[in-house]
Amino acid sequence: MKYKISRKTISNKVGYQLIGIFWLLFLSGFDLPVLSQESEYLAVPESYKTEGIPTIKNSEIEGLFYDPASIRSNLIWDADRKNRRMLVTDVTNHVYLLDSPMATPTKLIEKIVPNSVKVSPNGDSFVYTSDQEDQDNYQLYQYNFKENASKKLVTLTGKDESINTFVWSKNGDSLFFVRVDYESKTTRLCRFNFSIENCYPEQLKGVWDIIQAGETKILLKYWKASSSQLVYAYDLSKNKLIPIDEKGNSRKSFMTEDSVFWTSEGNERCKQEPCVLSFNFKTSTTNLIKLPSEIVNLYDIKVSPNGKNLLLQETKDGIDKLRVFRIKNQAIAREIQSFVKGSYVVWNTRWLSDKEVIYTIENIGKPASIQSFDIKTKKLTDWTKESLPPRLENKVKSPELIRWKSFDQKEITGYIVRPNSEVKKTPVLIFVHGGPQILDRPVFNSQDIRLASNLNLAVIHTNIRGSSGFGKEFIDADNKENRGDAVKDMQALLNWIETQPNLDANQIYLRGESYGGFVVLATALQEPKRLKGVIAEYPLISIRGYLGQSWIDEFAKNEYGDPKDEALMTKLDKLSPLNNTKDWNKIPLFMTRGKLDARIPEKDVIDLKNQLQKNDTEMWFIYSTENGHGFGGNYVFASMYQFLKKQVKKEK
Amino acid sequence: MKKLKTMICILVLSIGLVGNTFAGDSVNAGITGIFNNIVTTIMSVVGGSDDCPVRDCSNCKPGDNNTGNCRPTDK
Repeated sequence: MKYKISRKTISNKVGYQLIGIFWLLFLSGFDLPVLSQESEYLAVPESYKTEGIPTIKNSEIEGLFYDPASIRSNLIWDADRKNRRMLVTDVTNHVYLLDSPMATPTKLIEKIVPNSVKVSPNGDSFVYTSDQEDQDNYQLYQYNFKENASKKLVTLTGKDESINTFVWSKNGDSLFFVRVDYESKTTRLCRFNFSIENCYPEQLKGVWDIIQAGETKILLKYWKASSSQLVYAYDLSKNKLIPIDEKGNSRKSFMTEDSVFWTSEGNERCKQEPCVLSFNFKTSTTNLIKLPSEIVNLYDIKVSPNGKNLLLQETKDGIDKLRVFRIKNQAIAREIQSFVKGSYVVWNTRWLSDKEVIYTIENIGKPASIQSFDIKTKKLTDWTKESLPPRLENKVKSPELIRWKSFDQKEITGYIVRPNSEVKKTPVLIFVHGGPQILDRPVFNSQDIRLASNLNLAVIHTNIRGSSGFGKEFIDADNKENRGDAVKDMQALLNWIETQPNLDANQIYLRGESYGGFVVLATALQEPKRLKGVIAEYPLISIRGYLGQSWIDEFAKNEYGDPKDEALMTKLDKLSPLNNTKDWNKIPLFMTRGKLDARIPEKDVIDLKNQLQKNDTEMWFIYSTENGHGFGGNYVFASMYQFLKKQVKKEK
Repeated sequence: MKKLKTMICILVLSIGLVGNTFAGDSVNAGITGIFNNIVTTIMSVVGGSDDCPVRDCSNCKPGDNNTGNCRPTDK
């Protein structure tokens, strides 16, 4: 990315005169004095247009940044079972090859961030999806280890088409993938044998994902709604779709030669929820798999390649537990000793072989690292080791789980990260995640640490209604006409803060990204007095505007409502500050927008900005001409930091 | 001769005194180059979710200015 010098650092006129003098002296052979090498101000990226953001002195953000080499955090993209190695990320989310435990990862792909990465069964290449050419329209690329190069595999043909998911065939000779056409709102299952692509005749209504490919069947998921993820199998020889579970919500599933296994919630066969069910293709029977009784928060389930061991991941209050069980006669038998010691968030578990599990662990004070566990030898191996810049060490206390009751007595949870040097009354920054079908967990978070240590802020992360991880009823509780209830969860949190002796209820700031941006804007509209600043990063502004986009599918309508329902749209309009700025109590607002954002209508963002500027609201605005939804970076973070610093100072 | 010396002196002093400003432009690439590489590392939110299709709720697009706020999805 190119940067330009901040306008205030040098006056052009003086600059040109000096350049002239410089050349005069240079040509006449003068020895020049050694000049200072430092700019006083933080450069604004060339692709950014800013409004209302003051020039930032480097001295003001001195404590904010650190040497990138001083931090190490790796997560797993995928396992290469054939060569006992793996593809990993670092903090840049690029793709690296990790050949052996504690080896230095080799960068394979940079500048683009794939959405999904899968190594071929024979270990000679990996395939990934990327929307580098067109935001939100994913395409397939293959990276060949021998050639050290990537190439595009198939081309998109539709007006608004995306290859959202893919899997390898069992022997690695081809890929199965789904072409989602957002114009016709249909999905086609296709196969590519690395020379010819064939799509199967069945046109699937809505958005589908591909989960797994067997010899004769493909496992698919239909995204009806976040609480209605339905499992199907596609019979390749008969070109027939076989419903597996059309009642329960099936988040996770896998297939063996003759059966499908899946987690289900809401299926009448479940005695406790969620449960695990199996369906046998030969007998067409569905069975309930008996889980160990103590498992209540099942998050993930993965079978070993030979089908003899089962990895279960439980999540409670954001902390994960991994357990491996033997499978005997299609039933879960004895457990192998537990192996993750301590409180961690676990990501992307994989079977590296029939007897070896790999996973990443992290928590608020520990960047992610990768470990493997051999279930036969019981040996734990570190594949990477985290490192942390000294300036981030011991700056915050361990996160505490917090619970508060909302207006309808529903229990809402979150976690709070407090600075180590807490004062009598600590200002609070509340963070609301996007989605909304996401679960915010206490992972390593350098921004929290830096905000807490430099501004002495306590940061509260929320999982308001609509978040995942709390069951079907909770994830649906903000749907359609109930959107305002999520805002009430936020207002209830403000009430909770008022009861906390160490938190300063007079200094509460909100920060939300994407959908979370909508929530914080809506909360500020309802709370003209209790909030002192709002940060909305690439926010959703208006649900009416969002639903008016051509790509909007059934999944989005089940979440937000039918755009033709005018009564509902009018009700939802009242939540947004757009066209309601008379009710906006001039709460200072920091907002970002990427020009390439294909998710949220730009007009809504610009209109809101203009309306609030007219309303004399203090507006800090960053518009990037080169980024899309989800952009950030050092300049954005430094500006946000300055914004918060100014508001905190104002209130002192 | 005296005039010439004075002029040279003024020129040298001018360069020396405004050196910082002048140098700002030429070495700024170096400064920004460092910032360009510094990553702000991981935020709290997962980039993708296993509870929604990629276009509906993922926000894992760090772009050139990596924020590192993404966690690989399990898809």
